[in-house]
Amino acid sequence: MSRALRLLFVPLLALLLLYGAPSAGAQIPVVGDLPITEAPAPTSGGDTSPAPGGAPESSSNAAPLVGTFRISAGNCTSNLSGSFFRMIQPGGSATGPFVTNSDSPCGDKSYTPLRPGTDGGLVTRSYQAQPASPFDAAGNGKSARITAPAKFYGVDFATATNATDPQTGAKVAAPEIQVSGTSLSGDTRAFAASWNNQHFNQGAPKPDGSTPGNTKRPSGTIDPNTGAFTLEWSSLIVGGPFNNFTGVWRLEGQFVSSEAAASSGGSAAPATGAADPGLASAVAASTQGGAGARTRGVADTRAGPESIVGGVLLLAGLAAGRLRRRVAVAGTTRG
Amino acid sequence: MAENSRPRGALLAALAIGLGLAVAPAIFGMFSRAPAGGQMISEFKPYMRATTLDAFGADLQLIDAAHREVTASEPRPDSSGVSSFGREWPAIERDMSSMLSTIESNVPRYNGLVALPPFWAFPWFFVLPGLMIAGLAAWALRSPPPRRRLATLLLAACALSVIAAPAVFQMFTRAPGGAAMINDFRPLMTDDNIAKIQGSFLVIAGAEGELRTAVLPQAAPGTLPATREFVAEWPRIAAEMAPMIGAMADNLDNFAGVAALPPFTLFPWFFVVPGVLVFALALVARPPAERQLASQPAAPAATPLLERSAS
Repeated sequence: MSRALRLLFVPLLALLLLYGAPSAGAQIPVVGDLPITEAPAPTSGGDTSPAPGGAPESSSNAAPLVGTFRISAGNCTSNLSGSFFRMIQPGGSATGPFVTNSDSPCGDKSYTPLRPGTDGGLVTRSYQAQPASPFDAAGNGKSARITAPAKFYGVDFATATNATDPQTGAKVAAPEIQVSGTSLSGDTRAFAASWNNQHFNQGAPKPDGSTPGNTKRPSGTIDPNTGAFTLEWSSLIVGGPFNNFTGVWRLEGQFVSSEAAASSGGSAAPATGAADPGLASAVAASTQGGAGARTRGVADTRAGPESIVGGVLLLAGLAAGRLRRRVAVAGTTRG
Repeated sequence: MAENSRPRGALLAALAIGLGLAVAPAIFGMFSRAPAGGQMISEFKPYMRATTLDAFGADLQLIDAAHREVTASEPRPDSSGVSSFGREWPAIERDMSSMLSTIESNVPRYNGLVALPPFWAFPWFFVLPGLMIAGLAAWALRSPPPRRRLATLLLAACALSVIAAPAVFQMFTRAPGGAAMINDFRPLMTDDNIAKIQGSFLVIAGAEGELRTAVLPQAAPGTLPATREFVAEWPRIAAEMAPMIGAMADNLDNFAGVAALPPFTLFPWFFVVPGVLVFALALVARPPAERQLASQPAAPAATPLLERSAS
């Protein structure tokens, strides 16, 4: 190899390491240290590949929202609004056909309205576990923290999030919802429904991280000023009497961060007109994360394992080149 | 040399049979399928009792009575759920009654399967005797006549116990019963049939909801007694039906695994045939007693068969 080629090779290798390795290193999730792409990443249905490690996947430029997604009750008297549950029949899609719940008060009985439970709604980063005896004698679900039990074919169904999924027995992470600008994404694999002495995992992704059939990860929108949100996900029922049906969950209401709840002395929402500080900081962090990613350049060289290995290889290459040159010089001198 | 080739060949054949028995479960996928069968047997247990099946039968009669009442009432209730029920119930009733009678007729066969040793242990009934036969045959091959005689005796005893195992576990009567049960359940344990049962459940449940919330509140007191009873009993009926549908849906894969095993009727013969063969081979390979050996001073039989052949 000529000296000129060697001189060209070394800077090329250095450039490769500087631009290639750090981006690989940045894939190591750092909670709150915000990531790269603009769009939230709710995975489309049909992807059945499990997420590694069973931990929630973090959308790349999203900031976690820690608090309660307080839900407003489903209202089907005029226009449908609020929070609902629907069930897609086997072989159906997001557009139906849906199961008709004869106990629904709605005109379109495929909608089952949800009412807030004792916690007001879905709490992120912690579990809202079912009671030790999750059913009464008639098989009605008793969990009432997230949503109030609702009748489905004569029997109440209830919802909970548990560290161990009661249907599959898998250990699952607590719900995680992230914001990116005004978009929501997340992981609700711990979410489960109980009905008629049966448990149904209703999270997305499923406990093993897969998204089979019509399963769709949570997605939605949030108003950074008011905390008003809509959040929707769907989850294929795997096993049990409703095997291959799909539950669709639509939550609507107001997000209240733990920070805001603590500062207002408990579970109340922030005062009208006052922005939720937890939400505001998460939205700001997600925006900054995106900007940071866009301006990331040569200076952004956070050392991941790949970049360290690359650096060592570069140094070794340089040392070997230098040694070879010395040997060649010594040989020439002797000759 | 020729005198020794027959026992050596017999022992090599016994060794091959032993190894064949030992690897057979892996070839037939029994290590995964047999436990799956065990799980299915265990999960079907609550529904394979005459009392449970009688209760289901009584529930069907109750729903049928409500159906007759509702379809005969004037004016006929005007709701989609009740209309579907009126239209679809006769076929649902026919299918469900047929399913119940199929299950009921298989209860004795199921009980026969339950009385067999646990399913998870099945592969080991092949592996362990297989390894014992192979080990004894190898030992006999490497032993000089006095010990070879003992080894072949043990080999014959092992073969006899393998022959006896199906009789001890009553496999000749229970295994064909299991095969018949698998055949009877084959049309029930399909995705399509489970989907059909799920649909039937929703038709019944949908009708119950509309009868409870729309029809009965407007009916005159004392009318529609069977319908009232159906609605009153629905939580119990649903609590019994839903887990049964769940058990069927959850065991589709397990059933497919069991159905893919070799036919149950052949299982006893998987023991008997190798057992008889190994017993016969052990007799062939058995060296003469010491007294007879003493009368034959020529040395060849005093050396191990395997070493002799190698030299």
